[in-house]
Amino acid sequence: MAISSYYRCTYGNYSETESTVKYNEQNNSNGKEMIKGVSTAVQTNPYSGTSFKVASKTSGANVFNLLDSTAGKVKDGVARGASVFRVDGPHGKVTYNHFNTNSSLYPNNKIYQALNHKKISSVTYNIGKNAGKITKTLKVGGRAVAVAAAIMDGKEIYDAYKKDGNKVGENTITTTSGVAGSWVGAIGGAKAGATGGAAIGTMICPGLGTTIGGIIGGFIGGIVGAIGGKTVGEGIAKEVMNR
Amino acid sequence: MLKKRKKFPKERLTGAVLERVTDHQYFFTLEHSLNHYENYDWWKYLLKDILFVLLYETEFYLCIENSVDDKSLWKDFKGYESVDTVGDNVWIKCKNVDSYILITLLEDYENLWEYEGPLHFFAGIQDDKEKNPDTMEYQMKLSSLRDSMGIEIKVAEKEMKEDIIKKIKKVMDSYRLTLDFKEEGNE
Repeated sequence: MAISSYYRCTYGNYSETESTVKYNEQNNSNGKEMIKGVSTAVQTNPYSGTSFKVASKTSGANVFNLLDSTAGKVKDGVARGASVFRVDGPHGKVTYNHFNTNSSLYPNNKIYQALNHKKISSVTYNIGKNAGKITKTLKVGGRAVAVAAAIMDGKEIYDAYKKDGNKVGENTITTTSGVAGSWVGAIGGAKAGATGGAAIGTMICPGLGTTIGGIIGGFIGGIVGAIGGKTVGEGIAKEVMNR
Repeated sequence: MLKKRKKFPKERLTGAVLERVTDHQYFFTLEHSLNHYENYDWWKYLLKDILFVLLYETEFYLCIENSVDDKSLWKDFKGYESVDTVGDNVWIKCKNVDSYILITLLEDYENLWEYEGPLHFFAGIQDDKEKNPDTMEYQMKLSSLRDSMGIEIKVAEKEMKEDIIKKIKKVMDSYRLTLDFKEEGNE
């Protein structure tokens, strides 16, 4: 923010100067890109690019089961897959909600091994139990937010069109290119972020770490991708027009 | 020099527990979860031998719950008396126990001992057309406990207890492992 604008804001003599308008526009724009990143991230599978997947069916006390399709016994040349991480309610001699890890996998990962039969709170248990529903709700919410962001994009393009004197000019092309870049960046960034985050999480603690890493990585990747994608998109448009 | 601290020390598996729940129900289990033991692979050998002695020279049904979609079960157990499905469960009838069925179940179908299934061996049975694991009549029923924690043993007559303990003890002795007998609530 320019110093003159800062003084005007601080001492109450506020009037929208060119720099404050620019500053606000930039902030709004980044906020919108963040929304795009988040809306894309919630729709991205945190296990994308990994061999992990959530079991579609659970039985008995088991409420959440993360499988590694490349682990387990090999039969007819194909790995049968094995459970990496589970959330269980009480069963048999174990009278409390708990995590389960696989004794035959990652024997040297102490964090992973220490999670086995670790008592968990009812909140954690319920998150595991309702993971499918939570994901579904977030996806629906994410789609709605994405639609809202797309409408805002439409307005931004329209404003640029008006700025160009109701014709497709430099502003329209730059804005459109930026919008396209932000969506491409958000989708690609969320996927790449989820893959990277899941990989880092797996190194720390397979299963639980993969999940947390995949989710956080997806969010960071989506947001960074959207902001970066917009800048790149606008940059490319300007470059092409200046030739 | 800094001494490296052991954060999660593991123990050798030195014994197992036979816990009496009622006169007709027992748990043959580990004291701790499987990850607690550095020689956890012994547990499979032990379970295989325990199941073998308990089912020896007995006709039995093997019921694997919730596994109707696992087509490899049919391929793996087609050589037995009969393989059948009722609802979501696969039923396999065996004239006698052999190492093949036990090793295949323990090695290739770890999931059934961990989180799927459960599986049940019904010994001393009459031909039951209904094939319902909850109502089937038996002399002895052996069921998998989740998380590879062992087996649940149910007997029709409480007099069978002595024979079961004797057989389990013999196997444990052959592994040089101890058998700790616990009454329910007696820790």
